[in-house]
Order: sequence, then C-alpha cells, then structure tokens
Amino acid sequence: MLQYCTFWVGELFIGIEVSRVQEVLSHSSITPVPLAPVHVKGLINLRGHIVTAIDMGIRLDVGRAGLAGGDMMHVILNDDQGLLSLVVDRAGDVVEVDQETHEGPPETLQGEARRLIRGAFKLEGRLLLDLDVDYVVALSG
Amino acid sequence: MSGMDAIIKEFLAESSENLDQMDQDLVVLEKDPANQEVFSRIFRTIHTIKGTCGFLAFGKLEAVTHSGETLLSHLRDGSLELSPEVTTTLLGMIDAVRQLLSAIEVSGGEGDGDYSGLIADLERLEKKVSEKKKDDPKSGDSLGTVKSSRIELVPEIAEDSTETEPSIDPKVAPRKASSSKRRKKKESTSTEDVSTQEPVGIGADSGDADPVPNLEIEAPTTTALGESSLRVDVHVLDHLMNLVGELVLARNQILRLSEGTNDQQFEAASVRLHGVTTDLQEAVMRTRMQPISLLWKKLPRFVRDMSQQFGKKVDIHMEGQDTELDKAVIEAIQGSLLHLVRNSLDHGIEKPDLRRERGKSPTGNLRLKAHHEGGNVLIEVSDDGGGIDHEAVLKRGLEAGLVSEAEAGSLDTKQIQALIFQPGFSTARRVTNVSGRGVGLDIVRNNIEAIGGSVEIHSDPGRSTSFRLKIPLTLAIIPVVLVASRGQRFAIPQLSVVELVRLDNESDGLGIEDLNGVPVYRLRGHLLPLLYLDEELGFTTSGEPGGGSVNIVVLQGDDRRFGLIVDAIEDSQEIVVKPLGRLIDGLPYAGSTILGEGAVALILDVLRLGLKAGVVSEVRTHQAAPDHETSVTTGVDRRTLLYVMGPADERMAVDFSAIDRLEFIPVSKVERVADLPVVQYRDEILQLVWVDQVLPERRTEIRKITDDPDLDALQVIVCTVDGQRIGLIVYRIMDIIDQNMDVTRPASREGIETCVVVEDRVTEIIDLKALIRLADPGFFERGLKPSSGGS
Repeated sequence: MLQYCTFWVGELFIGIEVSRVQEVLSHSSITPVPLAPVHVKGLINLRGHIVTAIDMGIRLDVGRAGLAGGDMMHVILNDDQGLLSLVVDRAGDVVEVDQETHEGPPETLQGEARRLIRGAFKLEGRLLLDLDVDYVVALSG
Repeated sequence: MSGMDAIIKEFLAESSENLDQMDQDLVVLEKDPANQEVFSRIFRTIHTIKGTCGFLAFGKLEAVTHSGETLLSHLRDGSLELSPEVTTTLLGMIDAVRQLLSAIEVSGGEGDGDYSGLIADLERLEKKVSEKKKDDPKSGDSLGTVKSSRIELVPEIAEDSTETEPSIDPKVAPRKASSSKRRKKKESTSTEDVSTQEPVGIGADSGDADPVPNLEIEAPTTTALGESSLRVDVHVLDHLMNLVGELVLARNQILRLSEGTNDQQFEAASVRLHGVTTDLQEAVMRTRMQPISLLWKKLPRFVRDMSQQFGKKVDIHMEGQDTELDKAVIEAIQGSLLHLVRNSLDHGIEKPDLRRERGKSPTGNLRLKAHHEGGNVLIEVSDDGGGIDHEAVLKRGLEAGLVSEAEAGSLDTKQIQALIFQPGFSTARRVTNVSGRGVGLDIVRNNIEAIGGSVEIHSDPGRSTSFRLKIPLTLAIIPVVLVASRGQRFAIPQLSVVELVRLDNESDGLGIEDLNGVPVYRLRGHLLPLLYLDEELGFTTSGEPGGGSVNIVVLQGDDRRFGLIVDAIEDSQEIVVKPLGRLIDGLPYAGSTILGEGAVALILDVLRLGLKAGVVSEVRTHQAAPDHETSVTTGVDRRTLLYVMGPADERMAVDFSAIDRLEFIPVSKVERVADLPVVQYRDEILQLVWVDQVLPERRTEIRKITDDPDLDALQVIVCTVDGQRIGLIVYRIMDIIDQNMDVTRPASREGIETCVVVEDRVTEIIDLKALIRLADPGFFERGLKPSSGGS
C-alpha cells in the first residue's frame, strides 16, 4: 500500500506520494514576480526560506484564470534542489492506495493535464489522479 | 578510516597555508638572506611536511621534500649561498609539493607526476656544496644523517637554533640601540622556535604516534594567534550567518510590532533585542572576515616569477594587509586582482633600460593598497610604469572596431582610458602569452561588478597607472533602497544608486521630456534616459503617476547612468540577500529578501534592467564612458539625435554622439573675438556658432534667435568635433529621439548631412564639420596645430 497526499485543483482530485511532500499549509502572503511565467504565482517566505509557488490551476490548465486568494493551500515539496510550493485549491487527507488499482490517465483529461497526470487510482466512488511530480518540477520553469 | 581521512585533510589544509607563506618567505629571503626568522619558518614547513608524509606513506612527496630539506640545511649552515638559481629551484620544489598535495586532495593518491628532474636539480645543487665541504666533518655529518633518517634531523634543529639564538641575543652580539625593536621581535621568534621544536621532536621520534599535534605546531605562522584561535568549518559559519540573517528579520518584525504598542516594557525589550542582534550580526560577519593579506601573500612570488619572465625588475609594496573582507568576497576578487597585477607587470612597468632612459630608477614599483571606506573596501593596484599610451590605445580601439575614426578624435582622456575595459580590446594576447590568457580587463570589470563593486582607472601617461577597485565588505547583507511600484516593494542595492530625485509638478527646469518612447530628464545639464519601473516589469500602464510628483532613482549601470521612475521611494535599510526561488531565471532580479513584516521582496538587478530596456547599451550619454561597439552596430539604421527647433519653427537635429553637454548661457555673456562669438566656459574660451545665422530658414521671412523678445538665456549644445569643443547656439532644444534612418533624403544645402522625416516634419541633420567650416573656415586648422598653424 502506498500513502498519497491528496488535494483538489478545480474539479480534479490529485495525489502525490507522501514521501515527496514536506508539509501542507495555508499561507496568505505571496509576492508576485513580475515578468515570470504565468504559472509562477510568486514567492513565499517559509520560515526564512524563499520558496517559489507554482499555480497548479494554471499549470494544469483547468480552464480558469488562476486560483483565488484566500483559500489557497501550499503543498510544499522538498527534494535535493530545495523547496517548491504547489498552490492548490483545497487540501484533502492522506489516503492509502493500492498499486493494483493504478490505471492509465482518464480519457477525459485534456492538454497539459494529460501530460502531468501519469495515471489514476480507483478509490471508492472516485478517481485519484497520480501527479507526475518530476515532470512538474522539471518543466515548471 | 575516517580518522585517517581527517588527518590527511588537516595535513592538506595546514600545508597549503604554510606553502603560501613559504612562497613569500623565499622572496623575502632572496633580498635579505640573513633573515633567520624567515629562514627557520621555511625550514620548519618543509620539515613538517616531510615528517608527516612519511607517516602517511606518501613516498614521492617525502622524496621531494627530503631533497629540499637537505638543500635548505646547507643554506642554513651557511655552506651554500642563496643564489637566484637556488631560489628558483626551491620555488620549483614548492610547486611540486603543491601539485602533489592537490593530487592527494583530489584522488587520495600522489598522481603520476615525475619529479626526478627536480630532485636531481636539488641534489646537484646540494652536491656542489658537499663536495666542496667534504673535509668539514660537521657538514658531512649532518648530510649523512639527513640522508639516513628524518628523525635524526630533529635534534639538529634544536641544536641549530640554540646556536643561532646567542647570536641574536643582544648580550652576545650587541647591535645598535635603534634596533631594539627588531631584536625583540627576533627574540620572540626564537623562543617560539624552541617551544615548537619539542613536540616536533616527540612526534617524529615516536614516528607514528599521532601526527596531529605535530601539525598544529605549524600554526604559529600566525604566531600569537595560534593559541587563541581554532579552525571552524566554513559551513558552520555559513549556517551561523543564515541563522543570524533570520534573527535580523525576526528583530525587524518585533521592532515593527513595538511601534504600534504603548507597552513600555515591550518597547524597552525590543530596543535591547535590536542592539544585541546588531552586535551579534556584526560579530558573526567578523568571523567570516579574512585579511586581504591572505590574497596578497601569493603576490611576491608571483611578481618575482613574472618579472623574471618579462625581464623586468619590480619591487612590490603592500599597504593595509590587515584590511578585512568577507571570505566570499576574497574568493570572488582573487582572479581579478592577479590579473591587474599581471597587467601592471606586463604593460605598465617598463624594462630597466627604458626606465633608465626615462630617468627613472631601473627597478619598477608595484603598489597595493587596501583600506576601508564606508561600507566598502578600496583596493588600489598602481605602478610607476609608462602609464596608458593614448595613441596605442586609440589605434587598437580602431583596429578592434571599438571606436570609429570619427569618434576617435572626440574622445577625452577618461573615455580613451575606458576603452581598455571594452570586450575585445585586449592588446596583450598578441604581444605576450602571459597577460591575456584569454582574459581581458573587461572580464575583470565584469567580475568586480558582479559582486556589486566597481573599477576605475587613473593614468598619468609616462608616469603611472592605477586601478581602483571598490568592493563591498560582504555579499550577504547589503544596504538597499526600498521603492514601490504598483503597491509592490522592490529593493535596489545602494551601491548602484547615485542619487534620488523628486520632481514636483515639473517646476524643476524642463522636467521630463517624453517623445518617441525615449523619455529623458535633464539633470544639471546632463541627459538622463529614464525608465518607468512599472512598464519595465510589465505592469499595464495606468495614466497618471501618483499626485503629480515624480520620483527618480538615478542609477549607475555599467558606466552609464539612467533614471528609474518609481511610484514611491520608501526607505533604506540593510537586508539579508537570499537566493531567488527555484525556476525563476533570466529575469532582472539579483535575489530576494525578507522584509521586516515577513513579506518577500525582490532585489532589482540594475544592470540587467538597463540592458533589457536598452538604456545601458543603446542610448549613450556622452559624459559616461561610451560603448562604441553598440553605437557602431546600431548606427547603421538607427541614430540617436538631438532634435531642435529653429526661430521660424524649422526642425534640425544633431547627432547625439558628438554632444557633451547642454547649457544655458546668458545672452550678455556672449563676447566677440576677431568677429567670432565666444563665451567663457569652464575655464576655457568656447567658440560659438549661431546655427540660425549660418543655416538660415529659407522659406519664410527671416527670423533670428535674437528676435525672441523673451530671450534671456541662449540654449547651447556643447559638442566635441575632431577633438575640439564648440558650442552651437540653437533656438530651442526639443527632445532626444531614436530615429530610424531608412527613409532619408539628400541634403539640399551645405552644412547639412542628410534629411529625415520626424513627426511629419522634414528635419535636417546638421553636418557638424561642414557647419563649423561655414561659420569659421579656419577653425580646425587653428585648433589642430596651435603652434605651427601659422594663423
């Protein structure tokens, strides 16, 4: 069984392996970076570290202009290159998934989302989309 | 195994420090062979390396140092003179040791370098002595022991220094009273000798007990500090620095909170916190500070080698060796400093013969000075050589296409000297293979500017050249000016800020002139190209800047000044520089920082901002060093023109590159000399040309500038044409425009170069030379050869 940290971006229910995630937090103050690519939402101050926040709404191209101010959550990723924040609409629970239930990405996904989602887990009553974190991190620039 | 690794690491660190010192010592010794203090230090260094590497089983290193030590021992007992040949061989040995050490550092092994030639050299020199001295039992003896075992050498040191000590002792060998200071110094060194020998002996005697104490004994190259200092991993210091940075931010937050409260106790506590934090910050910064001598101590050796190679004689003088800089800064400037020194040796200081011819002492002087000034360190590298040969520089500038024939004549001293910093200038590469090495002075300048510093050059042709580097003390915490644009705050490093200008309702002179997308402000007669920060950052423009007043931050970027218009200038403060977040590349930001209340602010990269907007590379303000390269390439189809209006509303333009300044000159100041208008201008007599009289308006009734009833001051364009200054009196200066030159019409009269259409008006571009000839046919001849011109 694998543990996945889950969240919502628009209507999409997405998960990332727990081991990739440092923490999930709500954070209101974000400094925009003029001239940066649109999906760079800005910079946040995470206990003294400057962390780039990626707007997953734009990144996944969910068909609306960015995420709203107050409610957004930051999923903080930590890898050997440092920290990165994925800005999402709403955080979910950590769920256990069975590798057996993994299947290809749903046909309904279009465009950029189709490239970023590498598959889906069948949970009871819904699908958990498996986000390709490496791809997000590598191509977010 | 890790214990062993640690020992090796320690060994490497110690040894490389000692080798640097040894380079310096050998050069000193060459000049002052009697200096026992220096000598024993050299001996100890090699001895310790040899002893330790024997223990660590580095055979090659041991063999090299062994031969070196043997030679040194002859030098010490006086049976061998320190000739240049011996010095060179010993320096060669140091290099070999360095190579071996770096091989050990990289691979853990000694590498496959072959040092038998060097060892043979060392032994050859040594044999000369031993053959000569075969009869001398003492020297023969010591040789034998040296060869057989390193251990037996140790008592020899002790013996030897007890021998030398009495000779230093004032009682036995009395010296003049004036040398008492010197004596004291020597005494203290000799006691140090004694105290350090014993442990060496123990370590070496027991052979393999523990070499670490053995190594620590070598620390006394920094004599008195040895006992009270300890080695700290740089990473620990970096971490500490980061934590203090955090603390500074937290302190700023607390201070902000305390402003909004009436709680006196809280306020008092936060003031205390403020004080302690500031002190702590300073103290931690100090731990990262290292004296510049760390960098400089490599130089005597370097200068010696280089000057031999160039066949020159050079003395090096250093002042302010104790000046401290942040470790990171020292690392960042190292290459540049070496380059400047090399440059002075190669191009600055002349060969002895030439120096004699010029009435100078055959030995040149290279001076390095360092001192603190404000938050910066000033480092000066100067020589008393030939200075900068303007003609040679101009010639090279023309060859390299950095400057056009036309421009060459109009450059002043400073501009000519600035040419040597241009990419592609380097004359060195062709003449020698030592300077250059693919690096020009442009790289030096770039490197210094990259850490927020600047380079200036001053040269007195025939006499001296000096480079002045202005370098920030530290890279981690910098003073900035905070500005706001569209409600967002940005930090601008104070080093780039020249001044802050606030314009209220354009009451200030002519205010901002904005046409064809090149807004300029006339700041004390100089034309300052302007950028709107909000536009540069891609904020969509909204009409009026706040409240009718305009804030201009005057910035210095790459030798050129420009103004940045911001919504508000908030305050200046010290900030901790943090790297930008991930995935933010290629944007005009130099980093980020966290402000008092925890918000992130971006630090603007002034140079990149200017480049992006084109003010730095394209619009040339002539008071700064010109960038000829760009003006040549952009000159093909676009030109920057000063657009003027004549008294009858006709339009003319002058090429911007020839213009030095714009002035207002009162009508009453205009005098006539030999029927030509002149004005006294900055301690010289400036000849003037009434443009409207030389090139009158042809279509309408003749009007003259002097017909204007409100006229009290004349607008004068001060230009340099063929190296001579002249002032053009025009009716009204309108604007600076960047004109597309693809649609032109031929000129229809003399004095005009060509015509272009600017804003639906035919505009004549003045041919300055022709205009001046029309006004005063003898102008150039008179000026070029003032003595033999005959007029």
